Amino acid sequence: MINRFRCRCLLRTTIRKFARKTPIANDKLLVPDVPESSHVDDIGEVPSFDHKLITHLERLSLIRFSSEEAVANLRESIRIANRLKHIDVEGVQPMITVWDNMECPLRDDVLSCELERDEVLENAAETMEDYFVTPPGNIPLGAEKPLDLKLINEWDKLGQPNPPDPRGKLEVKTNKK
Amino acid sequence: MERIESAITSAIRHRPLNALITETFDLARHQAKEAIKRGQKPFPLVVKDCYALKGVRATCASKMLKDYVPPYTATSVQRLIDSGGCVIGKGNMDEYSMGTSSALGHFGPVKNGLSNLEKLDDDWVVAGGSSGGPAVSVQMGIADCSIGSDTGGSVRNPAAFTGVFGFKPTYGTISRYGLIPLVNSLDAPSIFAQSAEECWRFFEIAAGRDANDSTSIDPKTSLLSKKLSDLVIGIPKEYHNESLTDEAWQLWNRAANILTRLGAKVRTVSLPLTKYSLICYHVASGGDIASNMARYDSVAYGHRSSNNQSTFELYSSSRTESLNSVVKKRIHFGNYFLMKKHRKEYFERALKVRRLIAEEMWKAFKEVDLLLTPTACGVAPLFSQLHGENFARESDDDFYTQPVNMAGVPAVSIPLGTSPSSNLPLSVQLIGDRLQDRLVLEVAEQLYKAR
Repeated sequence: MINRFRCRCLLRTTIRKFARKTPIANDKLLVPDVPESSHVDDIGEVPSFDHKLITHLERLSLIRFSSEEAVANLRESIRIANRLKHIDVEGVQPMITVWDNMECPLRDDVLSCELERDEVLENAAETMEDYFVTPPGNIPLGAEKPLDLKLINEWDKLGQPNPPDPRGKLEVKTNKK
Repeated sequence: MERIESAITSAIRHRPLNALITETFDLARHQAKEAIKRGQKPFPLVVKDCYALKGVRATCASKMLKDYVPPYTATSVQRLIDSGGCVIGKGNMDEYSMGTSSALGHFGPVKNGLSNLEKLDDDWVVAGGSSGGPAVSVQMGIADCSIGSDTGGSVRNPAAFTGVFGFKPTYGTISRYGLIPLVNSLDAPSIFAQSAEECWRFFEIAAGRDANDSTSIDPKTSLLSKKLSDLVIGIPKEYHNESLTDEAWQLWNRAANILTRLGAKVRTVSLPLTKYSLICYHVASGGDIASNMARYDSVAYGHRSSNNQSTFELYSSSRTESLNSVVKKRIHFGNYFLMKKHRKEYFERALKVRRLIAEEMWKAFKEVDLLLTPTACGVAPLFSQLHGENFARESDDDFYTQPVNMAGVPAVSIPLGTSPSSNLPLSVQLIGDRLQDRLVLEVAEQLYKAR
């Protein structure tokens, strides 16, 4: 009984979405009045994520995944990206810029010194004797406390989306200059 | 001088809308005096906070750059200042230009000037994004001209939601030197103003080849050689999709009627790859974003964490602590698509699809002079509605603006009408072939005047 009700609601929504539009009085019909679906079917699989892949991506990005939802969002992005596989790209060259058939003028090879050392250093939180400083390097980023893989890979069924909300947060004061 | 003072007064009065991250009133007054000395008429200018203005912080609405002060000024901004522009402030925006709502930046949301001012803390009309602050600035008289950046619709969308003109010129015509990049091959410095004519005026000032931007080109500025009665306007049928509201469709159809009354011919065209454009953008931009965001490691500038265990721990903590969830998400999936084993399957494929989408649009311009489409699926939503649907509406609106960036062609959002039910602005979009910036704006002007 409930399923039939849901089906009817879905049908009504679909009918409304694809309903014919009516021009404003006295306007001729110049724009096609029946919508075309912009839906693209999913294609292919989204791989299940494991801890190795999560840590690998954290190392490549140098950003931690804040929660299972963050990883689930990535899986969702892959699902969307897969839809490009419907298109035949055989023989097509990748496009890097829209002006790839245009000649770019080159600058003269002339030395210019646009910034003083002080200007280069002034935004660094830490410097030492005109050097930028960092802690010791060559140590790979460690893995964090493992996330719940089941929740990640079954987010559709188990997940509770928590969209970001700026309301109620302390407003960061703008300043005058 | 009075115009500058009245702009400053507006900026103060409309502070609750949060359109500016940094106010620069004294700088504006100083710039006005200098302009008058040069015999120029000063005009108030708001600069989106992803542009460098020497000595004034540029934050990209992020905690990462909240104290970053650039030691140089963007070419586009400098050209506007040299012609009389007086910077009232740095415009608030979506963090790092990622978003279509200007709601989630570190300095709080931008609120549309048409919001209910009594309930502003609880809910507001979305300003659009990512250049929400610059749009609201022109809307509320804080600026005569705002400069924003448009990578997938980030100027045309907030223009539509606030009822002003938003003009994205041909890719390359305004230099990107000094614009903190999002997607280098799609970013287009763009103009907000109260008329198409003013958009042209400010565009002419800012545009032109720049030695500091190797992707910049000269625009074509010659007078319109074709009369409206010689023009053919294409209506791409795929832009009437299931998300388009009745009133947005009606305004689109009304615009087509106005153009035929003015003498143009109107015909339906087909751009079948339109529905793939946003998906293609998602992948292609992800790659560029992952790369462009790699520079924020806290060493030379930016938020620096106290986690000193190792270089990578420092970088990772600094970035994780100071970038918002939207930015982090895009970096993560961008890096996934760039992984050696995925790169061909996703990133390269997206670049190929991009060529197909661009070529499809360029081909359409062999049959028609301009394309006429909606700018968004309807009026601006309330923030509560946007949040309630987990920001799905953002993608619905990006659908109409994003393909233009793939092809690098000029487009303008024209605030042609008002929704009878909500009293909020409704817009249409005119798109032209590459370097047809003048044609796009001249026809926009005629369409608007005849509304």
